[in-house]
Amino acid sequence: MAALLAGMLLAVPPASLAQQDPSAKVLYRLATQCALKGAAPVPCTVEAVDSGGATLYRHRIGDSVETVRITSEPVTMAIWAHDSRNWRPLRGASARFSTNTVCFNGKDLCVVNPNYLNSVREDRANTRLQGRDLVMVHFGSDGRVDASCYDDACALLLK
Amino acid sequence: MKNLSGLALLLAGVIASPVGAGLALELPSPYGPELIARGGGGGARMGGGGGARMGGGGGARVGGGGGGLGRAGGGGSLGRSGFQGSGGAGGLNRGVTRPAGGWSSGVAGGGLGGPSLNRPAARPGGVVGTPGLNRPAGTGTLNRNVNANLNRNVNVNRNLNRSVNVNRNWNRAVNVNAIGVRPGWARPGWGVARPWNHGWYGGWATPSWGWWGARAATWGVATLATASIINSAVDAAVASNQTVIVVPNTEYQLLFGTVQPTGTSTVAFDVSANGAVYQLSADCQAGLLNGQEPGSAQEAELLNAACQVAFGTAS
Repeated sequence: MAALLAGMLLAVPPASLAQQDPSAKVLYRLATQCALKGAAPVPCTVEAVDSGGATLYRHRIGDSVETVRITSEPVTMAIWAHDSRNWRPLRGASARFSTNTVCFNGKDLCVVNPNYLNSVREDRANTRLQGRDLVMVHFGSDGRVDASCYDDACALLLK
Repeated sequence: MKNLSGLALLLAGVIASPVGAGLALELPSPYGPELIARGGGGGARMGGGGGARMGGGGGARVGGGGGGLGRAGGGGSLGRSGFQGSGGAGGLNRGVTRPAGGWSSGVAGGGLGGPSLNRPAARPGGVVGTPGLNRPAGTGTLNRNVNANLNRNVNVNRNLNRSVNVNRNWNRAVNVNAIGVRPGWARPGWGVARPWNHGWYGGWATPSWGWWGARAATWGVATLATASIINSAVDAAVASNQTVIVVPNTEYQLLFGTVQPTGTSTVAFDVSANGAVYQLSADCQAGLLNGQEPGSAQEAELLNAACQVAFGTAS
């Protein structure tokens, strides 16, 4: 039963997920800039919601909303698919600290979100990002990270 | 993320041979990503020669520096798998922990050019290694063992007739810790990352502040350090993993990560002088340092630097 409920919860549209989860709380709302599929940046807002074991990032760009769900242990990322009304695992994500940018699925969705990066940076248990500027991760078919790279290594691999 | 397809090739190469990534790049593998992801098999960790660490059932991790991909070497224990906790996504996590300074609610226009994964262009005037702005680490200045007179909060000025003027109303700071000097925003991109949502810029980019001109003649100086010089000093410090900048034209060391606005035009910060750390406040609009007008050009420069880090334009 628990598994069934969990499955139902995962399939609930993100807008109502926060409402249904009594423990969910809005971490912040950020007025910033987003870019879709490499297009020119446009104003957008980001609402970050702590929903138990996951954080939801709801990007409102004009009339559209793109919601990314990030879990921990293991770290997984998924985006809400409006067509299938379900969470679709991301293929990859990347971040450039010096531009305060986070991108999902290549450049499908990029956003300036210093809050996220500040929080990541202050994870004292994590020393892997010390001195790093660019980080990219790739998710395997099981949704978990199966590769990551930093800085110049990413540039080499992208050639 | 098709752009990472090359990464799969690298990983395949690493699995095929326990040598460095460079060689692995020259050895394309016929295996697809799925096979690679399961290359850990029983979870053995393959080390030596800068090889990759292969986690059980997960896959390889590419990263680290100096050719060492993860923790190389033998050892029977798997230790951390690399797929758990905060480091499991190359260091990314779900970003739920409230950072020092809190959450920002808006990103200033400033030098913001929209989202970009490209390395930003260098600041005018240079970014890294600007001569003379950053004291090299390990000079001992911060940890100098000073005499007992310095342990008093009062009368510091009269006991110190060295090149640095420590004002008698400066209070000793007692809680300088790692988080205090290394908040999440004190990193590349700090200008945009500063989490406070207010500030008094005063239309200032290059001197003068409103309070500067009247005192400049008394101090015998004509200009304050420009915003770009201070920004470059912070950039250079960040790039070299230092927590202080030498305030231009002074011997004060500003612990720039401690800069914290206390209002729309006021700021608190820590400064190191003569081996001690002092917690100060400044009113950037009125031009006051610890509630007083700067008593010297050096103090004015310190006020100027702290206010620039807090409220100045910086991309």
